[in-house]
Amino acid sequence: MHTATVAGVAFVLAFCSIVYELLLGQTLAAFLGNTVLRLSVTVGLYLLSMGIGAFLARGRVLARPVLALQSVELALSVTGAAAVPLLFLLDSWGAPHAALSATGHGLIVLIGVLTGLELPLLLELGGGAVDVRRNFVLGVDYVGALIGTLVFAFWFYPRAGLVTTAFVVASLNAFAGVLLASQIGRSPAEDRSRHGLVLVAQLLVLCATVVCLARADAIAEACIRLYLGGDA
Amino acid sequence: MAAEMSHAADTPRERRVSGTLVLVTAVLAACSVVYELLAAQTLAALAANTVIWYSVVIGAFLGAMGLGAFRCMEIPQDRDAWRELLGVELRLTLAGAAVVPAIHFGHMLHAYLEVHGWPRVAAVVFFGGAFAITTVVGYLTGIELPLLMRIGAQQGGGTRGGNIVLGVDYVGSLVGALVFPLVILPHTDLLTAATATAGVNLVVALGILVHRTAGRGRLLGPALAAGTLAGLLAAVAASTARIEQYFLRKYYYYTHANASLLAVFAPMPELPEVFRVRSPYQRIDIMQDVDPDASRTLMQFYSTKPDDPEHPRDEILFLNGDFQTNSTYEEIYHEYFAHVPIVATGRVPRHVLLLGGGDGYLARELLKHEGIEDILHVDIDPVLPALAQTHPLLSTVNKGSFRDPRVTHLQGDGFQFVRTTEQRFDAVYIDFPVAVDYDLSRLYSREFFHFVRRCLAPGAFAVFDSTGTSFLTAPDAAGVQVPVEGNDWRIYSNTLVAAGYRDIVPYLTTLEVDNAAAAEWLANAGVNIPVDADFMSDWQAADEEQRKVLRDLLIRRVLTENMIALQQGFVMMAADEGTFGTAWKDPGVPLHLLTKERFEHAFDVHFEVPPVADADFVNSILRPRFPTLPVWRPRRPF
Repeated sequence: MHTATVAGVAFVLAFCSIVYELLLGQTLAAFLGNTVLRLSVTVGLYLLSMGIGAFLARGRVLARPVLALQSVELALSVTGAAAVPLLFLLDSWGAPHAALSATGHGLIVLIGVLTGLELPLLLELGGGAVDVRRNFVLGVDYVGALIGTLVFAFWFYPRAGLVTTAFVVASLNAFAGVLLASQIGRSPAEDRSRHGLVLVAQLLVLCATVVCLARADAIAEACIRLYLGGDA
Repeated sequence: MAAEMSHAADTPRERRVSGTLVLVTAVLAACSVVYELLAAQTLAALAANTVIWYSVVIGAFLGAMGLGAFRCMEIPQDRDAWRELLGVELRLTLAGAAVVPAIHFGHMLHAYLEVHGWPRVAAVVFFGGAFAITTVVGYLTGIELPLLMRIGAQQGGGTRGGNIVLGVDYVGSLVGALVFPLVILPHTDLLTAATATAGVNLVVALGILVHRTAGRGRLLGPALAAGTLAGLLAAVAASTARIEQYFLRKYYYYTHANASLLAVFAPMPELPEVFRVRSPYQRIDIMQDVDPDASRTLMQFYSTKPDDPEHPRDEILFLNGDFQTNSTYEEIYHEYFAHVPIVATGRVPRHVLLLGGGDGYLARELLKHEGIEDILHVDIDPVLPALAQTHPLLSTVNKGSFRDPRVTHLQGDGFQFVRTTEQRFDAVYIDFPVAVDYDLSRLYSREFFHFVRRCLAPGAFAVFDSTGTSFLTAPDAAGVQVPVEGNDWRIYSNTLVAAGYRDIVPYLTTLEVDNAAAAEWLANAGVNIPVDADFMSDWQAADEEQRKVLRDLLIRRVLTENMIALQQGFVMMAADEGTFGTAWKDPGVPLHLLTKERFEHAFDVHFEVPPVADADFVNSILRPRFPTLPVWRPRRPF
């Protein structure tokens, strides 16, 4: 894969991941209050779980970078799209704050670990051994995170709202996952059927997130009604 | 991987990452995250919207870490990594200690530059300066980590050692991210925290200096730098209280500090001390208004309170640096707040829920009604209600309201309380700070107001102060005040309709301008009234009779300006239509200011309530509509 392509993908993925994390932090703040605490803990857990993810990216995973990356994107787009509505559902079932908090932070860690896996895989795909290219990809990854935090704070949260944002970003993430299909040729022949399965699943997820995006206002309203309880 | 493992197994003793390195890595990672959050918190405290500034600072910090990692690649592998780390730590000590003061200095300079006609330069200096110091700390942190990984790789057999260091770094970051909101914010001021954290960096530097570089030349420079930094940190640590007071005065008396570039930085010992108490939830400040405007004197023509010699004047309460209440004319706000809904519904509530209002001023007004049997006061912050009972100003003004046996206190989040309570109330008074960030925006959301409505007994009402509905009004063709562009009424009204209220009545504390005594005082007191060139040419051309008319018009204008400056908007609402009337009925309690005429005048506004909520203007926890303030504005006390 061209370094530029990898850098583009790295940018999009870093952008998506930080927005997922901020979405979760902000949703937890909406349920539990104290934004400063939520944001600090979210950032801390995100860094920690990215470390764990980076640590896991070795051996068999690293040997099949395309398949691994496709699977990671599939998991991320599903988790990112579902996380906010899931918390509202849990809450409406009467889950105590401790359970909401545990689920929310668990999702933060899950997204962090998956994001941590991404970067070494991308570096494997795009940079190979050449240090300069690796650094370029790494730098783009940081920039993606920077832009993600800015867009979230200035635009996504106050303008689009938490639910619409989740579907916008998950669609973007799923689209990037579908684009990875162009790299399947690099994998050994015996992996092709698995690639096909993941690709089909990713296409389905993309369709689902786009449909949800078109109906985002209705879903947000449904989330609020769940939250308000019976007499909304 | 397999090769690495066997390699490590071959030489188990020599090829292990040392405990010292693990400890140093964890501590340094925690320090860096603390700096990052200190920068975010300082900027948020001086520029309002917390979420925005946290996000921006965290993003800038991550980006700068990336730059630092690039820089580290250029350091040749054969250099002594500990020695390189020493240099980074010394720089980080200085930059880290500078984070909090640098952002404060930027804020001070902003006021000066803005007043002197360079608003854009001012914004660049303040925000640019804050990002610059964040970037420097992030950059140095970005160099630090690869260096530690290099040492780890040397000690622990290649990549594996480096990965262990990376893992420890992440754990250290998490520790820092937890210590900051849970320990540092509630228990210490930001300057002390920054200085102490810089001290930790310096200790690491000193450790390297003593243990790792013994016998290698050219240590004089680092040793001198370390000594200087130690002296500097000790000096700051010994005077954090004084430095905090210095910054507090600069914040609250910024109009005095704007006189010249020298005055921006000069200490202002002639000005009164700012009283500060920190709680886990807010910074509570009380300051003296040293140059009150004309409205302070004008109050005596409107209110009977200035006749009371015991009444404290010119003391202002601030929460998190935002204006709350001025003791000189707080009765305008609290009398309208407490009594207008009671008069409008025509009955005194028996069971009252008071959310916020931790100063006890609103409780004082409510307790005047003997028909109120109990008030449940819910406040997230235990410190302010306690202070309201002990502080000389607060306890004088609130007349010990919080000690009244009819008042019960409950510490907790008002939002969670109304969401979960089974209790029903005859009145809910909502006295929260203005929604200057997304956190406070929740307390004006459709979801919150929905839960408030659920707490209302049949025929009950709720009322809150709706900052952003006053000032921004203009007379329509019929001379009635209507909201203009930028008025927050559209957000409040749509949010309340979405929350299911059927009777929504806004009112303003508009004091009359045809007050003869006030006009006479203005005409004779020699108050400096600015006039424009048009007025001067009209004045010169006018004869005696016309001049009298001109003068009356001018005085009326000044009076209008002063009364608008004191104006506050409120909204009272109920689940059922027809709950509120506008006919005056004497509430039968002693009042300083609220009269039949002023009560009726309070409704002289034409604020439309939409029949159906427009989703674009509904404030929700899923999509905040507040704050509506511009983002690139530093926080100012006034």
